[in-house]
Amino acid sequence: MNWTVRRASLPGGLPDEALLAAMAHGDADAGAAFVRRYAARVYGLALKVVGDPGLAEDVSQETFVRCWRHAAVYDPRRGPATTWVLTIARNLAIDTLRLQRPIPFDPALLVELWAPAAGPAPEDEAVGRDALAEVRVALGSLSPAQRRALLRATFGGQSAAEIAEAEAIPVGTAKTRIRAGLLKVRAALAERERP
Amino acid sequence: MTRALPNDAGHEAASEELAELALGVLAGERRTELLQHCEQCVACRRELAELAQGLDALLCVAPAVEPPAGFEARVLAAIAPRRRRRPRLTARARRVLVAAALVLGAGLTGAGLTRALAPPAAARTAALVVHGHGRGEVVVTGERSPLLVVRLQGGNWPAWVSCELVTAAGQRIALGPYAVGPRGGIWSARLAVPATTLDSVRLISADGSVLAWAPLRA
Repeated sequence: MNWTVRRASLPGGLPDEALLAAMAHGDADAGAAFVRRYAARVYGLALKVVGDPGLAEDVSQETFVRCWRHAAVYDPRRGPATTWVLTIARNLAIDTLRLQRPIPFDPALLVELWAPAAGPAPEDEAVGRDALAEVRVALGSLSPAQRRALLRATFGGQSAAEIAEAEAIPVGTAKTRIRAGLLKVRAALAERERP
Repeated sequence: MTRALPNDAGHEAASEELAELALGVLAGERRTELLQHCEQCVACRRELAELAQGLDALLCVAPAVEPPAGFEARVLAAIAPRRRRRPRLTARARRVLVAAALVLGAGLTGAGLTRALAPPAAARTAALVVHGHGRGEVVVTGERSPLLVVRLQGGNWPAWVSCELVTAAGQRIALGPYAVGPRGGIWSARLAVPATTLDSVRLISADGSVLAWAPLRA
């Protein structure tokens, strides 16, 4: 293994954990490399949630400011950086969406997330390319009602009570749909990981 | 006032809402109750972890979209006031950090660790002498304001570990405490004393006992 020096020669080639460790020490080059690496992923996710390019850009910018500010508390043992940064982006986007309501969240606009014709999945250390395809298949295999509930909760930040109201269903049914949908996605991943 | 759900009676009710907890759409008192329940209930804790993994996977399916032109510059301008307060890392320090991070990412195993942690020329590395189980290494790079990287692996480390540097003149410098899991951990700190003045480093538990030490003399 002789990658250490070669990969370290350019900040852009550093692994996420090293970029974040360097960011925690105020390394601006590492910060720029981190932004460059995740800008499209973060912006894409924010756009899916808030549905407005200007708001999505605001959310994305604030996501990276928070990553910079909190880089020191990132713990790689708790999960990959991809998950960390996308979770920050999602939470900020949902907070923004809540402030913008009553703009309705339309899960039908998220059809590309599970449609087989969706664009190539990005290379990802949290969930590999093949696993992402499995997740899309699992999402596509849910009943339309179950999928709507899961997407409303995941990308719209809606609670079971809000979903129940929007879909005119009992709250208990909304809870069941969210939970079953999320567990089915997780099961698809677990099935792949099984030797 | 919140109360923990009883482990048996509350289990079924809790499990119905774990997905909302994982998704972060449950607020207020109920969220607190469920978190308290999960602390006691292994089954719910396990399911919560699985649901969170499902959420992580879902977030990754959102397609990447290039942001508008100038986005990166605007982000960097937004963090500029903060980054000016801190010194930049040298290329050497970056090399140490990448080595340490890659080691952690590689799963902290075997001889590959030693190779991966191989520091650049002017850095010094020392194996920790551990009083008990576990292993670890210390890397110091830079001279005037050196960067200290400590990596612990395996063994039976406590949740928190403090670090004490001893200089050749007998001065003691306290760092931390740092969070360490039972499988180990990694942290780094910028030092305010020259590397040439360092004599040794000690790792100390919350009760004051010395867990490990390493010589740092040049």
